[in-house]
Amino acid sequence: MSARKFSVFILSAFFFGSLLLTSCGEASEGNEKASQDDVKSEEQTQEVGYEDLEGAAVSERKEAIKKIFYTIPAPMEMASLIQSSGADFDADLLNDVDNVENYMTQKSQALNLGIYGANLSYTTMFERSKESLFYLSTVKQLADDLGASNIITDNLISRVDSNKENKDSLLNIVSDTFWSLNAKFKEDDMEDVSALVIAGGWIEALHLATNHAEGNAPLRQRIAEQKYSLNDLIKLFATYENQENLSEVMADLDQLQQVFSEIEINKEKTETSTDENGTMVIGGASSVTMSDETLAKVKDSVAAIRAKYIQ
Amino acid sequence: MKFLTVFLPLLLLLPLSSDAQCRSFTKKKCLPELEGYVQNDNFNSAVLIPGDEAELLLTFYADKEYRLLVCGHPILGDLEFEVLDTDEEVVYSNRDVTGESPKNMFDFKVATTQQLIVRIRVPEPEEASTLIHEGCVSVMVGSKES
Repeated sequence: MSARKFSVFILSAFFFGSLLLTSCGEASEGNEKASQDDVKSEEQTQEVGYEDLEGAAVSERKEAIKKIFYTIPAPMEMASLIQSSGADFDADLLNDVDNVENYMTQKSQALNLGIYGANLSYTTMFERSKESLFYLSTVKQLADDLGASNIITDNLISRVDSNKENKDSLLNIVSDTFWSLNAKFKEDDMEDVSALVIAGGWIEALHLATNHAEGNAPLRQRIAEQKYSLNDLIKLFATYENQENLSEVMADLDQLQQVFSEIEINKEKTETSTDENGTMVIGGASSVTMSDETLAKVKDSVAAIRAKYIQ
Repeated sequence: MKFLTVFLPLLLLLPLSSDAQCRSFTKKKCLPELEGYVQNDNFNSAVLIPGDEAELLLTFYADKEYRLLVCGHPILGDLEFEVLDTDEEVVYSNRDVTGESPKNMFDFKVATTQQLIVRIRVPEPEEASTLIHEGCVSVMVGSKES
């Protein structure tokens, strides 16, 4: 068979095979009604435009579902508060980039991808461009090991290098990169890896925050508020039952939750108002109580968990 | 060659894997609307059909400005969404948006750190159809300092 005939054969097989698949599940419907609906559906499709069909298809599913996303604030948000609260940059708090060679299992690679990602957010927020490039290269190495080599390309590293004096651009590149990694893992049915990256990043952000918290009231408040995020993280992990990779981390999070249970947050009824620009402001009285002893316990517990993950 | 010219556009109409395309769709069609905000790095996208619901739970920090973007494939129609507090009290609904204001995004500030729930619903078509379209829906959150 010539190459041309072969390509015609492949295309024909794909086309007619897909038509058959599309019509599956509709055989029991009346032909006339199905035909009218097909026309309607084609019209609907044409309204959208052929060029915009990316992200849409004809569904094989009939029953409605409810999808729940448990989302954790990005490590970048904690790094932002650390920097804006006047804290000094402290390289000794970060995971050494040389440790990357120690991470041979998928679990340790995923956790440390999150940890190095939080370090990258921290160095970027403090405009430490040299360190940021080291951490980005380390993140790339782990992302490659985890099969996401197409996310952090040489082109992206060049972009970071050429934007190293532009903090806002760098912050966007870092956020976009971690969003793309998260998406890639979920697309590839590696949701456990995605959850481990998020957990690693959250633990590292908390480690950085607790080490800058002395005499820093806004940061203490933010650490106490992590009680909310820890609950969400535990709910996220609970959605992946029986995943061996996640069970040990889940146990660590449960242990940490016991410490966080000492923190009291009382939130009154939510109130809304609008500011001078017409933007809605969501508020309501709230009080957070965390003793020095509890802060010390949080710091120690996080340090112990982190030490286990980075070894 | 002629065969390819005729059949390739038809192939575009076939049921492609929308799961695999969700990231690309979100990056091209949704991310640009978060310009000026630092996006949350969680990927909250799913392929949904009419009648489906999605919920997002997230902690929003005090003294920050947020943009919540509910971005769905146009084939699903206008998505409905609400923001609720943890007592399930509705704080915002895009059904109340009138005039030229965009219905797919909500800009707000937070005075007190709190958890909020974003509840999204894909509307059912007015007339039932045997062919059900599915499309990508992404919930994105961008933040910046107030």
